[in-house]
Amino acid sequence: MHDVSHRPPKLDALRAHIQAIEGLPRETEAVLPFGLADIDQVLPWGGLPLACLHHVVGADDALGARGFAPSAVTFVAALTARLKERGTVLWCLPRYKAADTLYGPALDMLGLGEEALVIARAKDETEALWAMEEGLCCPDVSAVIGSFAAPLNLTAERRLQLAAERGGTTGFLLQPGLAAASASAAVTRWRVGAAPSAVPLWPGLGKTRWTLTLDRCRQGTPHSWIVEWCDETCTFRLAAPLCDRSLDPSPSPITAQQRTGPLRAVA
Amino acid sequence: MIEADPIADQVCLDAMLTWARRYTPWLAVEGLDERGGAGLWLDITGCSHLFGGEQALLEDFEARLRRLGFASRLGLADTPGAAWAAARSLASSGASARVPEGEQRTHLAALPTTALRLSTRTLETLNRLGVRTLSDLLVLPRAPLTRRFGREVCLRLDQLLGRVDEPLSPEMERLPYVARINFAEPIGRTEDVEAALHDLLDSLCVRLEKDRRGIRRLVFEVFRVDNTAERIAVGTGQAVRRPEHLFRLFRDKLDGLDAGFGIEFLMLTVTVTDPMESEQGRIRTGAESETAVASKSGRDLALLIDRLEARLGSGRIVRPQRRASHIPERAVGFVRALDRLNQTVLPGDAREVALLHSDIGRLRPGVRPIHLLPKPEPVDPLPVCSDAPPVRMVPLPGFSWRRQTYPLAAAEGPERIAGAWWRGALPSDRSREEQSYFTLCEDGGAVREYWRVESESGARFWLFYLPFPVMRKEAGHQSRWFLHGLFA
Repeated sequence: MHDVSHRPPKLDALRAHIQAIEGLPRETEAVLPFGLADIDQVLPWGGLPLACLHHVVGADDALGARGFAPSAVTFVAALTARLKERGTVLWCLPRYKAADTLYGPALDMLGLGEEALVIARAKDETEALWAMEEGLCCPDVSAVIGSFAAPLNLTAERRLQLAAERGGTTGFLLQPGLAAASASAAVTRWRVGAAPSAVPLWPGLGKTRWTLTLDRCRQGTPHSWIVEWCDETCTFRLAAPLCDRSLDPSPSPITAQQRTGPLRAVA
Repeated sequence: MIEADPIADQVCLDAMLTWARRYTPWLAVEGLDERGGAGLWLDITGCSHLFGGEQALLEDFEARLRRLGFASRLGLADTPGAAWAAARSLASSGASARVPEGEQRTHLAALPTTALRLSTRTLETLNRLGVRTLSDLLVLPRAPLTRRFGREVCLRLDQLLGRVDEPLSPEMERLPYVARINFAEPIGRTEDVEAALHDLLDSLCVRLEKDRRGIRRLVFEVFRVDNTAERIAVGTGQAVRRPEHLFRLFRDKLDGLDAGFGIEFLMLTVTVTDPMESEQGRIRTGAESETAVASKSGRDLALLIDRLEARLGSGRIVRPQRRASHIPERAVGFVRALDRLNQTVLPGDAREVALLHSDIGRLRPGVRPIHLLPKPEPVDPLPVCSDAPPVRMVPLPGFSWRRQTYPLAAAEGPERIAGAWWRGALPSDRSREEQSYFTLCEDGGAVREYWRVESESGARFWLFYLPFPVMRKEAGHQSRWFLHGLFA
């Protein structure tokens, strides 16, 4: 938390006033801590504030261009799974193919089981937005996720933010990679992309790694981490320091050849 | 010998009462008493001509009852008392007794005193006095009779002869839950329709509250002046009795309502109801307990799902549900969120169920992708270079999918998943393309070897390889590698 003791009281009063105008969660209100000191310290609320709108986008890569953002989806699903004690999670999907390929067993493994999740399949974005707003106002719902292919306009986001404040429910806007970061009414914006995993001691794959970037944060500063996701415990931890990270991504011989030179096929 | 079952008798009488409403709306049940004299009263004043006269009505009634398996004794007369006497003392099974108008005295005089609805004690006394028939009774002076027996005997006699009125108190028909508003002038504004709908809902909910029932399905009908009508139906997941909630279900649909030349009247009909006890208000003591109560009740969630379904359409609000199958694309199904979930796992093939509950079927976390493509998509493997060092045991150096190349850095696998080989192949009359997809994906399909692979940028994919070529080349699939899912 920022230290406020030395600031003149008038400034504090002004800040409080602005907070009230912006409708930001007050410090007394509910917060979902990440459980990682490094991340929680950066967020002015000591964790992810509830009862407001968050924006989560996927990495701007080849998959993002095809409408997929698996890391961002998993990130949001894992966060909302921690909120399920407070109520059901509503996932609104507009008619958008890539979003509708969510796989139940994987969500189940993330802790978002079938009894905790309700999926609303909307015809278009307008319907999905309406469904999100309805869900945000429902006391039995803990979090509402909306998957959208394109950025929303500011008015729609503002409406969702107000509904979230009113209903005490947390909203997540989920989008595949966006090249340009537009203005947003959300309190935070996260960018989640895959990162090369560490070489494990055994043959096979290491733990999943993401580059987690806090793009935008009201009253806070942007920041970026590399986190490691643990499938067994459904928790994050910061990836080990640099020395443990995988090799510098200088092109390996195979790929260099594949990208430039003529290919020699082997039967 | 059959034991008496008064409750069943009462139920049967009630059902028969409903059935007999075909003859007249004015009906009553004569309750069971110690003499076992239960029966039905029908006041057919003004109804008999519909059936071609009184005699025809009696015959029709008797024939229908016989077809239903009842033996009946029917009496028809001017007064309830006379009809009672006729049914019990004159009629026999299969032969109804009709007393012509105004002729009770001549027709019934010969009947025994039991034809009057008198108490057993009175009947015994009369019998002791030598008064056996009604004619004996009719000649006696009224004053001593009344002194001896109270008003009973004279009253019954008068009721029989029609000197005293004996009104029947009819059983009220259970009215359907319908509310209707007529307008003096045709209306056209949406606000007016909404206000009227509010009133209709309020009145219906009050009636339902009294009967302790809730609404499951509701039809709103709008009748225009030019004799056209529009129907809007909504359904709810649980029994509901809140006017404001029901109103919200209709509100979005009212937007598109065409009033035409004006709306003449509105009708609201409840087509399906469920029993529902009165709601108890919540006691709120603080923010904490409020959320606790809310999450437990789940009532608001049901209402939310109703609203979403009303707007987005039926079957669009779903919950994922596991299905007993080891084949990835068959392992999950969606059920309507409104339907109560009785089973945790949807039924599947018996063998698949067995496999799922075995240790092999239990999955390690993280081995299933977050996105599963509805159809596995063939990918083009990148060619292998013989002089390049192998990279971390990858089965293939890379692949291209949807016009993008993904060189691989690491892999884990294979996880071999066999198709449901115990099911037969697809009948050969299907098209070739259909057949090839079937062999690939559906039941009776091929063995697949799944690999979790990581590209150089860190993206993870779920690829599978067909170790045994099951498809002919001309079937369209050149590749034996397929992409089936994306991991976080």
